[in-house]
Amino acid sequence: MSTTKLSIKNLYKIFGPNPKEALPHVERGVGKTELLEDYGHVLGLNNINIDMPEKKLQVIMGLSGSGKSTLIRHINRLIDPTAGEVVIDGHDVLKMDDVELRKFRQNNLSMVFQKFALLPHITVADNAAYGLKLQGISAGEAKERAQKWIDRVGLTGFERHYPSQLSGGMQQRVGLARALATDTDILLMDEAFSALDPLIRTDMQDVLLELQSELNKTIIFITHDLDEALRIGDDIAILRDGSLVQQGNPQEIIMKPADDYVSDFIMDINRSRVLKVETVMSSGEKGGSVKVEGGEAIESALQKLKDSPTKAATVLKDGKPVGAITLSQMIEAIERPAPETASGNVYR
Amino acid sequence: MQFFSFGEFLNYLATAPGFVWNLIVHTFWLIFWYLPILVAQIIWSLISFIFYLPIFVYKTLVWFWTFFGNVIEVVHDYVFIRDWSWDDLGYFPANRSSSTAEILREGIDQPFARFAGDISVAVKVALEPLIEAMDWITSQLSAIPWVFLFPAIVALVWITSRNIGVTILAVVAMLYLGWFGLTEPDLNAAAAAWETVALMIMSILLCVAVGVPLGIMMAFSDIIERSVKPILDVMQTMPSFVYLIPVLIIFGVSKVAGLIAVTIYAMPPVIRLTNLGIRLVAFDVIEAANAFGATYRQRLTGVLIPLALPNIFAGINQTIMMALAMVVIAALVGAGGLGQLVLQAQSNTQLGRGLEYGFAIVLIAIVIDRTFYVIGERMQEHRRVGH
Repeated sequence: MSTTKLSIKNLYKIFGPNPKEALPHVERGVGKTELLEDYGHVLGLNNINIDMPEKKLQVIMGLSGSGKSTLIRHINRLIDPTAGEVVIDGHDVLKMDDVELRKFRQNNLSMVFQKFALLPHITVADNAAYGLKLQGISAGEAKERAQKWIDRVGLTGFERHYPSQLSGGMQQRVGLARALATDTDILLMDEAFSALDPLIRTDMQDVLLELQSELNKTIIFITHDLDEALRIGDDIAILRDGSLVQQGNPQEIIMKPADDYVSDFIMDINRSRVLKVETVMSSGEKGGSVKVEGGEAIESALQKLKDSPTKAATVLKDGKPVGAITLSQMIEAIERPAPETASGNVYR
Repeated sequence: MQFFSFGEFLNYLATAPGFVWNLIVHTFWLIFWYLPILVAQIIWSLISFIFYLPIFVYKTLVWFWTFFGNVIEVVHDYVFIRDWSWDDLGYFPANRSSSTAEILREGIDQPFARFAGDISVAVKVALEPLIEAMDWITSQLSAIPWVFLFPAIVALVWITSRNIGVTILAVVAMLYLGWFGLTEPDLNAAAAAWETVALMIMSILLCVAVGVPLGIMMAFSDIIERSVKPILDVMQTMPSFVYLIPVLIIFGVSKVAGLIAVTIYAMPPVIRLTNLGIRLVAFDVIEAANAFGATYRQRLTGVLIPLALPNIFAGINQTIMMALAMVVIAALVGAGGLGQLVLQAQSNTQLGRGLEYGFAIVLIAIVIDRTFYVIGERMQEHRRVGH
């Protein structure tokens, strides 16, 4: 486990006329509906504790209204919490004054937005250089550095276009270039790809993963799409009604869902594509001549095993055998679990 | 400018380079010397006005005190001195000739007359630079010979608008004004058209200089918005003749009175639309500016104002149109210019002359309005190139 870059401790956010007064009720355990009906306040976030690893892609997932967008806005304090701490590199963001906060936002955090939020009256080049301009970097250097990122996200030749002349996918590339150009360690992405159509979305996920393999930034990625979360996330936190339901890597989430909410969430996903061989294998045992990689998805391991279906395959990791896996183990793992309750789909 | 012989004209043409030079020098002088001094003068007047403020507040309080004293007296008389009878239910106790209404009106008139006497000097001093500037613009425009002035104005319209239609319109307007002799000073009066143009320029500048910042403040504060909006409603619906009365009491028949009349009437649209424009800027763009660490000023000048420009310009256009609609009423209180000629035509029931001056006002209005409109469009290039 890598070191913690960012940790959120006992974070509460209550919306309403007098949040401080409503806070003790929430700490006592009053739920979202009850708080709204009896006290007239909306519970945004309820006692959130998350440690986010450095240089990894942390996904925060939940349905609309679960508080995920509220949570990400606490990290750069676009929203002030009712109570709690947000510690980044040992600095408590919530204790900063206006000037410190502004410097911190300029130099340590950058953000990509769901609706792109580009400035419509300036060109792509100026938009990409916007963060640098705010950092106080000279126009010439800002332009040069922004150009590098415009090229990197594949928008060469569109520098003098205005955002309204670009398609949604291209606009979000500008948003990504603007965020990356500032050269901050932390990248906040608020449903960055949700407004794009599915093919473009996959495309942008590839762009992000490729950039991440090279840049190793700490990325906090908000989404409501589980496939996206499983595809790109190193670590996933699931929110529901403002509370943290489960945090873990994708394999853990699928194999050991914390409650019905999470199991309903993962019900419809393509398990064979997400689950890895090493998650399912019997470790320490010896297998036959067919060899599969530990980090491989079950989908491709099944293909390798189709010629000798009765024998177990040897699982390799870093070239060494670490365990064995059989066809029936794999089939069992990819079986779609039945809904546990009659009202299984109540959250959808 | 008149020529009595061809030789005189040739002589005049020989001095043409000098005139061009003069024009350039005057323009530079206006921008780099006169305007800064003007601004300093206005600021100084405002500062002195602030020192005058305690006295102003005191006088205002005295005014209200006298006024409400009168009201209480009237109510007291009505309730305790007059005999009350059942007949009172048959009609509403209003009577224009009764002494009660008279006392109420007196309660406003007398304290205001005293109050006006006290503040008129301070306000006159504060507005003096504006009047000076207006006179200066009129005299400069009247002094430059038409052979240079007309092309210069047409060129200015072309440079700012880059639009052939608006430029042709400017040519037509110049020819019209020249043909009817509105651009040449009379023996005892300044050139009517330039007087009106000077009034327009100053009142529009005043409206924008006060209206845009006020609109921005309204957009940032709900309290300011709630308190300013009813005032704007009153400014727009109160018949202008009514607020001309206090203006006349304070300033007498003068250009200041005309300027204030036009400004009060024309300012509301630019305030309203600036407020609206800034409030309509998409929240996610403001949030993005915040997320990248923009300061208050960077947010205002880099995001809010540019994105509110379409609405601000719509407001300025409205203001220009309303200002020009006021020139005749402004002439009633001494603004002069084309409005005064219209008034003369009206009192002599001369339809022909009325139309002549009326169309002159319309042409000036259209040229200024279209020029501003096209400038506004050009400043928002990004809106024209959607896909």
